[in-house]
Amino acid sequence: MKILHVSPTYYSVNSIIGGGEKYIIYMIKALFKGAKRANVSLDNSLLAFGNYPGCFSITEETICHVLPSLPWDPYSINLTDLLDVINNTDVVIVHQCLSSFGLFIASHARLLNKIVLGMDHGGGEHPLVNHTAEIGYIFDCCLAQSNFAVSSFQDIDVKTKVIAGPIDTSYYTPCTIEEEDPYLVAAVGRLLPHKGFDRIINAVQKPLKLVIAGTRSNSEYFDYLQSLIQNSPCKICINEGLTDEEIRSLMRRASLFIHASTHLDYKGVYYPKPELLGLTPLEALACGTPSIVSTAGALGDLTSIYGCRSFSSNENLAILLRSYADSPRNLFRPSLIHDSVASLYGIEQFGDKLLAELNLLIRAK
Amino acid sequence: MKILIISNIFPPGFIGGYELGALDIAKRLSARGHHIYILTSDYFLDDREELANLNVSRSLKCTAVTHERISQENLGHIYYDFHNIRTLGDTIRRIKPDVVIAFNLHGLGAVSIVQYLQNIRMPTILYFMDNIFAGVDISSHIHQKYEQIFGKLKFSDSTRLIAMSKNVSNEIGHSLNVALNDVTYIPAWVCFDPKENFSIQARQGGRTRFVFCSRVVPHKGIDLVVDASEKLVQQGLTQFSVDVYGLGQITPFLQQLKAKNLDCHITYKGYCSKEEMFKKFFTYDALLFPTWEREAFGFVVSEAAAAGCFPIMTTGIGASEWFLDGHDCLKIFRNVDSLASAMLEVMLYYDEELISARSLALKSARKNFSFEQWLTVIEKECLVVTNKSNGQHRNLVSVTRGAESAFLFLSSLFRESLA
Repeated sequence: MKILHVSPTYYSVNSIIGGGEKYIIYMIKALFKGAKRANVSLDNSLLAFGNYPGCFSITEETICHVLPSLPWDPYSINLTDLLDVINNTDVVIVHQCLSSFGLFIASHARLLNKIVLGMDHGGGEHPLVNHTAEIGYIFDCCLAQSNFAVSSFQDIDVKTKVIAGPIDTSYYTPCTIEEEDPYLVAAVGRLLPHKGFDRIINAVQKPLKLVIAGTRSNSEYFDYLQSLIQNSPCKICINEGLTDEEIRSLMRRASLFIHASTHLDYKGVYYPKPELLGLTPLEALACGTPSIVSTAGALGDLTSIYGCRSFSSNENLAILLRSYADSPRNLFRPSLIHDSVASLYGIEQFGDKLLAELNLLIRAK
Repeated sequence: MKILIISNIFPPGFIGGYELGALDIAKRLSARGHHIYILTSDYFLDDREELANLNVSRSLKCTAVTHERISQENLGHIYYDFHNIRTLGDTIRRIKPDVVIAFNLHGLGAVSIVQYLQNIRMPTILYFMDNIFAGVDISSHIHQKYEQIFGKLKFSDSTRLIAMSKNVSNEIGHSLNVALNDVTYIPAWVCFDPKENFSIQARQGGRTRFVFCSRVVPHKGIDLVVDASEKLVQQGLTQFSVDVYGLGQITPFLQQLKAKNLDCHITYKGYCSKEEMFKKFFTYDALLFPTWEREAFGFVVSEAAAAGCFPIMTTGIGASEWFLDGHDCLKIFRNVDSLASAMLEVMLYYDEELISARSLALKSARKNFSFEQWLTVIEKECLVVTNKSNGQHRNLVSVTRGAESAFLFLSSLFRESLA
């Protein structure tokens, strides 16, 4: 089976920007592992778009091809090149499938009679999506990474399938070598208003120490966070530009992880899809670190994981953190937290379920 | 077989041979036991009793029927019309045809209709009796935008090409900038009874009887006929008559005859059905057909020749590919001098020479243009394309709907790009 992932997100030899890119890599790994277990031959490749043509490895088995074009502008694609790539595949998985770019890719995959799967990662919607449900016929199936993510496809006529995850539970594991700091609280993510880091800063209590790891994506919000930090009695710092390994180490050392995404940011701006999965709290949980998440978007679903609790308001979060600051002890066994993530959101279960779904679609075709 | 026929317009109203040809094929295939469905536009509404046993739906939208003066506003419709894609998809889901025969798609969004049929792997015969892609300009902004969004038009295995002539297939290839390969050539046919007795009569009273039978419009050469006749008369060569049959721009034509004092040589006879006209051709010595060079074929040449009416036609037109100049026809350059000279040549034939020339034309036509013979070829083409695509469209509903939705989105991008 030849699977082509097409993503209008940015990839390069040197960097991965956010969850949108990372998610696809997890998915590719999940499919490979699933195929290996099922003894099925599988060819996974990734097509991305950027300023210059390119070709590089993103996993041991997967090459990322970059076609020169503007990822937000379908008119900029050389269609002949695109069709050549799509033609040579059986299944096309279109990421950000409701965007103009995603629909363009999906339409051509449909017209070439490929099996077309769509996924939304919050990349926006073309106006036709809200105008006519039949846009859904372009896809054989839309895949939701959480129960909440199904809502992306409510307005279109399409079969949806929820397969939770995946997150790489072979990389994010508990580690006994790194010593846990009972007062260290971690939060990870791009420094954007809907990620709700301001809520954590406002709620954190002495003697807890808060480390926020993330990329500065909105300077106004960054300045706002800095002003809150200056006025906080607690020890709080923002670490930018950490590598994956450094982030994993932070997650392992922390005794508590907090993810406070919100539908309404500090200015009252509304975000319909603040979290379609919640990759970073899942990574932290996979590292065996208990977590507290908000109920925004898909985050509420994570409470089914052993070691994960949720809060529904800033006051709730403050109460939970006060209670934790008063008695900072880990009641949860890291290995059990990890296993719980693996069974519900891990790569293995995801790969098996997705391959089964693809086989169904191929047989139906 | 269940056969869906698509044509931009369909009789009883008609403009030229393309739609009459489509009607012939529909009727005869139906008579051979096939189930025929016709999808056309509402350009002509009345379907009277002529179309008994044919299921005709006039639900397509046709924005242009001639090749001349396509307005900027309608230029986009040369490429796509989503209403027509939707209607076609709906019809295919309802009828589930084994094969689609697409005749003239001009004005229906020809490019996208062909792409849609190929995308859904519908066994399709594209039957070219004219350039259905007229107006496509590969160097234009609109064309480049279209290809950027919908991709290049290519003919896949699920499509067979039938053309009336190399003349028309070359023109289409030129329009699309592709070489059309594996084309089956089927000439303009004639329906005749091979057992019918007839004889070719010598001319009466020394007057050569010419006939013009086509649309009475400049591109079919009516002005050349008038001017060539005038030239002969001016030279004192008056032993001829020209009878004109057909619809079109009759008023200016009659005014021209009056102004040039040619009404005693040229007579307008009105419109005759094909069947009536075939009988009348026996009574004429030669057909005048100085049509434009891009004429795909010219049914009238086959019909006239099969009735022993010696054809004088523009060199290079589709029909001329089947005749030998100076043997069973005369081929002319499309100008007054060339036509007048050919008319004079026929006028100067001795009776025996004229009878011999007419007999040769008749023999060639009856050998080459028998409708029953070519209908069998069309049936075979339908079978070939159906067998080639066997099973490729078993999920017809999801395949057609999926493709329509893709076209819906791509059409929206195309509109945005033209705004």
